[in-house]
Amino acid sequence: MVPNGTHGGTMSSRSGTTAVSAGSPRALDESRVVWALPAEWWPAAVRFSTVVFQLALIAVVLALWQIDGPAFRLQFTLICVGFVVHHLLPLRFRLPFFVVLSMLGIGALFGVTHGLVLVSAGVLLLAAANAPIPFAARIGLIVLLGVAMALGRQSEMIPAMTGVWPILGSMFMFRLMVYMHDLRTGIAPAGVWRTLAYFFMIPNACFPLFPIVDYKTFTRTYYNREALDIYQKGVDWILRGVFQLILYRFVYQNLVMDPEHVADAGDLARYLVANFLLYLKVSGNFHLIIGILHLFGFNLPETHHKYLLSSSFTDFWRRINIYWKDFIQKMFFFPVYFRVKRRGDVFAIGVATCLAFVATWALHSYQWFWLRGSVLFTWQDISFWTILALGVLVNVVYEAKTTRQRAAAKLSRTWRSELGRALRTIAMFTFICLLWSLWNTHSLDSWLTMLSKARYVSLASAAGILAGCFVLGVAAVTMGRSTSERTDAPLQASQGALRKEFWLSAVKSSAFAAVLVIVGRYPMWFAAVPTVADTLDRLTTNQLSARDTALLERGYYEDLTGEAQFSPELADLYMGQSPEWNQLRDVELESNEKQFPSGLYLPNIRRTLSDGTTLSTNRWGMRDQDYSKEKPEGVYRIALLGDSIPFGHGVGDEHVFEQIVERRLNQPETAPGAKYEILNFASKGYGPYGRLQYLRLRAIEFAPDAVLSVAVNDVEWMLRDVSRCVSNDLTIPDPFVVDIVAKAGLSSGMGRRVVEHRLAPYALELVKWNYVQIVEVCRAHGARPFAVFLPRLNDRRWEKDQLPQLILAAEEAGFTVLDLTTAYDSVDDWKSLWRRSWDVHPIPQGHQLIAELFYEKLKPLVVPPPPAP
Amino acid sequence: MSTDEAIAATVKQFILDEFLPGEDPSELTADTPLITSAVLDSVGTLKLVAFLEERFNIGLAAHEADVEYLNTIADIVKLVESKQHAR
Repeated sequence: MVPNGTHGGTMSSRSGTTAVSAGSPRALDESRVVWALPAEWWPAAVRFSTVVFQLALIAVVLALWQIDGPAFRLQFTLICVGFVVHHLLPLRFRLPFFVVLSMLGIGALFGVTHGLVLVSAGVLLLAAANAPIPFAARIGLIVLLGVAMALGRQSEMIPAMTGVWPILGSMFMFRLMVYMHDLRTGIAPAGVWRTLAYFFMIPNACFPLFPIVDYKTFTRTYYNREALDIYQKGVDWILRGVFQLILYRFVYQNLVMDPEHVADAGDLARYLVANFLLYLKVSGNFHLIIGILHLFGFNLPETHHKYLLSSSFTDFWRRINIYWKDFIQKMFFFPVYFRVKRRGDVFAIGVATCLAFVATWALHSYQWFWLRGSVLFTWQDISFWTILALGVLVNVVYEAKTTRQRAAAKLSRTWRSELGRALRTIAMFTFICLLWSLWNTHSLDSWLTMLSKARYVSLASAAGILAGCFVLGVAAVTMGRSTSERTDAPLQASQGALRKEFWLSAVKSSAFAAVLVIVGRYPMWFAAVPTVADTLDRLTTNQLSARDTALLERGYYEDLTGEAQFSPELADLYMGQSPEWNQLRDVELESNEKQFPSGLYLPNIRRTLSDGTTLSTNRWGMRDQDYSKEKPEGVYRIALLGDSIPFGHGVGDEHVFEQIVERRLNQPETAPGAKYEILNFASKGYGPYGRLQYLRLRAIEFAPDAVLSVAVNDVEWMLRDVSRCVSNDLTIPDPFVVDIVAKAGLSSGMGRRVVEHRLAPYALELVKWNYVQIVEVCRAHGARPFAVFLPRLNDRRWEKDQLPQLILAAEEAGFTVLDLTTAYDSVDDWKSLWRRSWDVHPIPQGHQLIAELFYEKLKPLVVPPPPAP
Repeated sequence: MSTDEAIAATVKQFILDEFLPGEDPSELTADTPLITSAVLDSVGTLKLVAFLEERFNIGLAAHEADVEYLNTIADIVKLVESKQHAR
């Protein structure tokens, strides 16, 4: 069946809406746009109200499900209000209003100063693009500006541009190429408002990774259909985006696993599929973005089209990130083809395809640079694009030679053809999953080791894989054939059919949004099935998966820029890093990879942090005031061992909870005549084994009366401590730990994650032993041992899973336990206590809350000072 | 048959032969979308370009291999005519 074209042609004004000629898709001629209050205005008012109602529902969904962060949700409110005003304005004012709204969005997100800097830099580029000089000179000017900006981006030397670069890059790095191309070929009109709208379009400020909207399509599709139909399609796509983002979150929180944890074919299938499905975040955001643009009359085509159901390499290339494909096709594929076509069609297509992929690879690195500030040049990236290019090349040459047969095959539907489609789709999906895993692997060894686990096949895993293939095959047959939905096509349906389509879409969208509101608001309605209720509860919160939570914590202590490359959630977090990220590292005396325990600090240093507060150490390298080694007469001395939280990472000296508690203990009314010292031996990256070593090596020399062993999630940190020793071939002084290492089959040089995975069964045993050791050292030196448990700001799962076991272990070992995990309970949103979105160390308020509870629990135990044993 | 009708008939026959074999010719009208409904993919578009250049002895630029110029038979006729007049 050929797509019906009999209803194409010029549309006239319809009731209550704006419409333009759709028969010819040339650039919008605004004089042909009709704006008039029609006689039968109320049906349009009802439809408009329906769209507004759906948007209100979506706003609630975004809030309840915490979609895309608070900045985006704030923008969405602005977008909804702006949408209503925009629609009520006469058409000639709408584009200027859209520009103003976009600028307001930038200002709301970046603040006035940074917003102005962003817009000014953009306007400078646009001035160069439109300067009254020859075209080649304009290109030269833009290149010069681009190079200057790239230097600024790399050096981060312009404080006003911090945080602005990724968005500036996102707005201009590709769109300026398209814009200049269209200006040169004269295929799209310029114009101040149109240009500003194109570059500064409103959702962009929230999304550094933005689809490459084509300038000509942007102008050509502007109100090329009835306004309300465009809006409704926008609502539909926003919800599609939301659905994909929820699906992404489900995959991210429940299915993603470490490659080192893959044990059999079932695990491998899960890893491969989950790893590929993380792309749902991109497709979801792109649907959301393009849906929002529809609300302002830009009837843009879809960005992705059922890419999971691709049946060949070219099919995959045409379905996934269609805007990228169109961009490459326009800027590279077609121009190259036209240059070399004299040498034969197939040759020209082959050469154009190869160069298109070289450009794709290079432009991905270029994009990476503007978004992340570093150049992406890895064998994984090169391998991925090379293999994909070869696949597409073979496919495209085949297609060039067999157009007619392919076309005939497209039209026929037989059992054989459908079975073939199903099998091709399954094969393609499997291949893409494998290729995607190669793209994201840490090392070739790790990838091959993971793949080798495919030889372990259990009945359950075989059944699961076959069931998955069956579902994919059925989906390919029933849904995989449909063509890409190009809304920039001329109007094809009758007015009646369009009305029906509008209401059908409105009802479906409203119902879906309402379900999301109910589920998001009352996940516990599903409490009868605890697993479902728990999953829904987690789905409605934008939290890191357990795996990424662990990786983020490592990120403070180890160079994890590589990890960010592989986890989109971590990448988002790390993109917000400030220059002081590594400030702590400068303070270290020696690299933490060379010795254990690590993180000894330089003595007598004084650093001013970015917020004006001070980080200083005393002559012993403690982050504390000065103390003599010999305990003065009449002083009750407490040694505190712990990690970066008691160290006070990111807060000034006076805000560290240890110092607050010490000051309060020494207030005259607390214990008249008594003197307390809390010596802060805390250091970043210390787990329980590190604390034990540090107690033995340093703290005990200061003759403490009490020892505070401050912990968060000791089970995980015990594994990290031991794995650090094993992986770096450091001497382990304790036979007990050496035995465990031997039992787990570990050897030096093994990767940290493999070591941790193998050690996991012994983790609690190690922790218990470690606690006993600390207590024994304390008792041997007459110090009273306290185990202090702090709340973990970014993840409360451990409180349920591990805390009771840890408290029991500590008590059995002989510690006096101080459970401070409720310290933040007076705060509703714990994220408000995070230092940064990527740094979950507490801000001063968090330290204050810990100090209050700590003091309250410690005071009865040490005031008045207990007599020495 | 006028010139534009002749061009339209030639183009239509090519599209039916190459991309829609077995299709009812009456289903393919002057306004039937070709690119936006995926009758023509990128390779198909280039085949059409090669045909137009050879059959009508015209030269097309890269930016003209585009939905704006080639999406319907009516668009193609306009393009071919404009190229012929420009010679």
